[in-house]
Amino acid sequence: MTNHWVDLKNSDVILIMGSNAAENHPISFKWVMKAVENGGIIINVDPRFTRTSAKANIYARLRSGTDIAFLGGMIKYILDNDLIDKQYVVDYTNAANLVNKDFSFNDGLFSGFDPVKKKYDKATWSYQVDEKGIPLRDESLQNPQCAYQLLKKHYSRYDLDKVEAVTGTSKADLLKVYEAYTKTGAPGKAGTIMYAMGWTQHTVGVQNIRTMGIIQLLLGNIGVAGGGVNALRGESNVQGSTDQGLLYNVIPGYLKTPVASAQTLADYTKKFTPVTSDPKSLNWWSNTPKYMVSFLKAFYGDKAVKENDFGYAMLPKLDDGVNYSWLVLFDEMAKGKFKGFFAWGQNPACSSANANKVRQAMGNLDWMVNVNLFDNETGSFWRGPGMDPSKIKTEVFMLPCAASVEKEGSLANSGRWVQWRYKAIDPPGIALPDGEIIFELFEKIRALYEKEGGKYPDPILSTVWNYKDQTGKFNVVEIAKEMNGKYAADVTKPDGTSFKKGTQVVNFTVLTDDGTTACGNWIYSGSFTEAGNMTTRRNNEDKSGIGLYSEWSWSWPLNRRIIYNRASVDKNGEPRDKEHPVIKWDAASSKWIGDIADNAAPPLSDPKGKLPFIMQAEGYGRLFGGFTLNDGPFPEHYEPLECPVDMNPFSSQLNTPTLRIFGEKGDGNGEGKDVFLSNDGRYPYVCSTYRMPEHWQTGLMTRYNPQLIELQPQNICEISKELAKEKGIKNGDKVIMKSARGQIEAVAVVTSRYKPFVIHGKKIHQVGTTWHFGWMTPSDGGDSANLLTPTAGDPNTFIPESKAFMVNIERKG
Amino acid sequence: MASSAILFDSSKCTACKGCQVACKTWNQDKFEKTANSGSNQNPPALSPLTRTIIRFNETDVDDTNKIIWTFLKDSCRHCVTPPCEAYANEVCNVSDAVRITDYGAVVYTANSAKVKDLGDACPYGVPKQEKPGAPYVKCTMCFDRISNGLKPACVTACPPNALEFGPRDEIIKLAKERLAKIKDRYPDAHLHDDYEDVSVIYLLTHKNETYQNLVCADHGKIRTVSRRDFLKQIKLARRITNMLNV
Ligand code: SF4
Ligand code: SF4
Ligand code: SF4
Repeated sequence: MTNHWVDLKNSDVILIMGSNAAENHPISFKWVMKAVENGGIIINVDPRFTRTSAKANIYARLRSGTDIAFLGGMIKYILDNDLIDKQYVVDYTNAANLVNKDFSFNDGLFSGFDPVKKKYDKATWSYQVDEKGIPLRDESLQNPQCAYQLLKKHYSRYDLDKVEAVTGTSKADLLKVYEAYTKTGAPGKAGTIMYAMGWTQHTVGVQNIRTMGIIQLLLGNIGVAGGGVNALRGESNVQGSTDQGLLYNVIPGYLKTPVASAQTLADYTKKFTPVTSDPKSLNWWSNTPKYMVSFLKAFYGDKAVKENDFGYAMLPKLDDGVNYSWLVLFDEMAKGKFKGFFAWGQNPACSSANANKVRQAMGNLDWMVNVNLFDNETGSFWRGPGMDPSKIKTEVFMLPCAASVEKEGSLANSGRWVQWRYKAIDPPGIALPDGEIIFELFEKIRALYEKEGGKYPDPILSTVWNYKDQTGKFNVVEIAKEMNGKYAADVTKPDGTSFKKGTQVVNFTVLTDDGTTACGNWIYSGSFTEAGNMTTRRNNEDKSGIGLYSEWSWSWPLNRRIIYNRASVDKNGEPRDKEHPVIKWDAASSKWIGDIADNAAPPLSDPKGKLPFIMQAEGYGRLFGGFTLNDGPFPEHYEPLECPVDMNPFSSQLNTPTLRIFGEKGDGNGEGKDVFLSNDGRYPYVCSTYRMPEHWQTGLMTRYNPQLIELQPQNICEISKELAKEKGIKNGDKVIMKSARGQIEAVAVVTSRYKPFVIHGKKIHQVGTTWHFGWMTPSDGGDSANLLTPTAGDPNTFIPESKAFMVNIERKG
Repeated sequence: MASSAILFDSSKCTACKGCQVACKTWNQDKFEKTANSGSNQNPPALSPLTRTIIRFNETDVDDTNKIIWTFLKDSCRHCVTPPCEAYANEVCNVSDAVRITDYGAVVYTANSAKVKDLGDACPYGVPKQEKPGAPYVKCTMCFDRISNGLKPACVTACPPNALEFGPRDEIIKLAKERLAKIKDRYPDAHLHDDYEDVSVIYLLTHKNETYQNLVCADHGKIRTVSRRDFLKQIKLARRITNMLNV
C-alpha cells in the first residue's frame, strides 16, 4: 500500500476492484465503513456479486480478465472530458515529457518486439533528452510526442462500444462507475483503489495495476490522504516477507539480486543504480551503493572489506535472463532437475496452479522437507489421490514449526506498519519458531563445512551469525537490530559527533558505502535505534487528525505513513486538501510538519525544491512508464490465455505477446499436463478461483478447525440461475468441475449473484470456486481448485492466471 | 444498572460471521457437523449448539443485473416483557427458569429444563433444547461479560462495527441517528417494527420481506392467560414476513 488501512477512512470514493475486501480483508471494512459514515461512497467492480458488492453504492459486473479494457475506457473518459487534475498532472507526472520519436504502437505491439524470442527490445521506451540528459518537456501538453498525447492516442480506441463488448459490462454501468470515480480528480477530493489477487492473477496482472496507477496520477490521487494504490496483501506478514527478499529477483530492501554479468561490486552498482542529471530529481535509488555495501557489511562483517569488494563475490548470482519464479521452479522439478525441496510454510500441492503437475513433480525429488504447523497435502503428496506410494522414491521429512502466537517477532502489514508481536504460549511438542529452525540448520551446515571443507566454503564460513543472546539461545531481537543497522567502525562525523562501533544507526540517511555502517535491510533502518525497538510502540493517540497514528508501531520508510506525500501539496508546500493535510511546509522553521515528508528538501517552487516521485529517476509519476516491464509502456487489453473468444477488437494479438507458454496450447486433455484450451466447446465457461472469509489460503489452518469448518464445510461452485437451468443443476447438488488439466467436485450454489455476460453478442457464463480445500480433510470437502488452474503467468511476475480460465461443469451422477 | 441493548446495523454488516465464531468461543459451545446446502448460511438455523447465526437472503429486484443480498444476525431479542418468561412463570408455573437481569438480558437457568415447549412461547423461535428435559439454550446477551464491564463477545468481534452495545436508551438514540444518516442511500431503511419491545435493535436497509425469516412480533397482543390460549395468541402474533425458512 502507498497508504495504510486506517487511511481508507479519508477517502471520498473507494474503488474495490480486483479484490473482495469485505470477505478476504474483513478488518478493512472497519475503515471503509468509516469513510461511508463520512460521506464517502464504495464502488465495486467484480464478475460476481459478493459480500463486498452488497455494501457498495455502485456495483458493476465485468467478465474476468477484462480489467484493462474497463479501466482503459475510464482513461479515455477522463481525457475526453478533460477531468484530469491539471496542476498535479503537469507538475508531478511525466505527462509533459517527450517520448522517444522511434516509440510506436501498432496493432497490439509496441516498438521493439522480436516475434521469435517473444521479447521486447525496450530502447525506444524512453524520453527525448537534452544535452545534459534531462527529459525534454512540453508543459502545454500539446506536443504530439508528449506522454499525455501518446496516452490519449493509445486509449482513444477504448470506446464504450468496444469496452462493453469485451467486458460484458453495460454502457450504463460503465458510465456510472466512470462518472463517480473521476469526481475525485477535483483538488481536495481523494479516490482510492483496493485491489488484490483479482488483479495480479492474470497474464496481464502488472498491467492491470499500471492502468489504475495511470488513473490515480491523472486524478491527482497519489500521495494524498484517502488516495493511493493499495494492494491488500493476502497474508498477515506477506508484506514483511517481500520486504525481506523472499522473491528471487530482490534481496532485502528491494535491492536487485546480483546477476552473473555483474561480477564486481562496481559492475553491480553501475548496472542497478539509476542516474539523473536533473537537479530537481532526488532519484532515491542513487543511494543503492550505500545500501548494498551496508548490506554486505551486515552479511560478512569484518570479512567484508574494501579490498574484497565487501565480499560481493560471495553473494550468489542469478544467471542473466533466467527466470527463477514459482511456475518455472515447478516446471523444472517436473523435468527432474531438482534433488531436494524445502516446502516452508506453504502447501504447493494445493496452492500451486495446475496442482496435478506439481504433485507429480514432487515425485521426482529425492527428498522434501516440509516445515509447517501440520502435515498437509504437500508432505503427504505420495499418498494422495491417484498416487501409488510404492512407486514414489521421495523421502519426506516433517519439521513442525510454531504458529504466529507461539513466537516473538515483527510483522509488517499491507500498510507497511511493522508491529512487534510477543509470544503468547509455547509451541507444542518439538515444534520450533521458523527462525530457530533456520538458525540450527545453518549452524549444522557451517559445522559440516568447517569439518569437511567443500567446494566453496567461504560464503558459509564468512557469514555473520550473531543471533544468540547471553543464554546462548537464538534471539529474534538480534535480527531486528541487524535489520536496522549499526556502525561497523568507530566514526566521527564532520560536525564532530562520533559513534562507537556497534551503535545502532538512527536511520538509513546515515548509511555509507565505505564500510563504516552495516545494515541488513535499509528500508527497516530506523525501526530499532538506540532509543529502542520502535515497532513495539503502542501510543494510540492520533496527533495528525487524519489517522496517521505515527507513534503506533513503526512503518517503513522512516515511519512515513503515506508514500509520495510530497505530491499532496502544491509547489509552495501548501496542502491541496485542506481537510486532510498530510504534510505542510513551515517556512518559519524551514521544515515539513505532519507526516514524515518524502524528503526534507524545501517545496518545489524553491530553487532547492525536489520533485515528488523520488523513487523514479526522473522524479515524475509515470503515465508513460513500465520501462523495466516485459510487456509494454502502456497497458493494453489482451485476452487471458484461456478465454471464451477468438478475437480481440483492440488488435490482432489475442493474448499478451510476451507470454511464456509452458507445455503446449490446445493439445487435448490430460491430468496435470500443461494444456490450454480457448474458445473450445468442451470448456465453455469462464472460471475464477477465490477465497471466502471462513477459510484461509489452502485451508491448512482452517480446515482442521471445527469451528470454521462448521461455517463452510465443503467447497462450492457458484453458478447463475440461468446456467443451472441449462445444465439441470439444482441448488445444493454435487457437481464436477473440469478443465483441460484436472477436475474437482463441489456443491453447487445457484445464485442471482452470477449472471451470464453478453460478449461480442454471445452469451458467456462465468462460474467460480474457492481454493480452500484439499483431499486430506474434511473427507467430504473436495480437493483443491488448483487442479483446474493453468500454468500461465504474468510476463513480469509469473503470478499464475487463476482468475480467468475455462471449465465445464456437470451435475454429478 | 440500566437496561442494555445491542444494535445490529445491517448497513454495515458484511456477513463475515465473526460474531458466530466469537459467540461459540466465548460460550464454549460445541461445533455442529454441517453440510453445504447451496448457501453461505451455516449452521443453517439456531440450535442448542448455536446461539446466533447470520441469515443470508437474495432478492431479485427485476430482470436487470441488480439484486438485493441481505444479512441478518439472528438471536434472542431480549424482549422487554419476554413472552418466554411469562409462559414459564404463569403458564407452566416454573419459577426461576427465565431471569430478567438488571441489564435487561433475559437468561435461562437450569430450571428451564422443567418447562415444556418453551420454544413455542418465543415469537422468534429462539429457545432450543438438545432433547426433551434438557435446559434451553439461547443468547445470554453475554450476561457474564456485560456484568463484568465487557461488551458482548459478538459486539467486540465485529470488524465493521455493525454491532454496538450500550444502555438501551442510548442505543435506540444511536439507531435513530444512523437511520437518519442512511435514509438517503437506502430509502427503505427502517428500525425493525418491534424495536420498542426488544433490546436487540435491528436497523434494516431494505424492506422486511428481503430478509430471511424476519419475524415481527406484536408484543401488544401477548397476554398471559391459559397456556392454550397463550399459545394460540402467540401463533397469531407471530407474523412470518418471509417464508424462505431453512
Ligand atoms: S461480526 Fe459483524 S459484520 Fe460480521 S457477520 Fe457479525 S454482525 Fe455482521
Ligand atoms: S426473543 Fe424469545 S427467547 Fe428471547 S426474550 Fe424474547 S421471547 Fe424470550
Ligand atoms: S450476546 Fe453473547 S451470547 Fe448473545 S449472540 Fe452475542 S456473543 Fe452470543
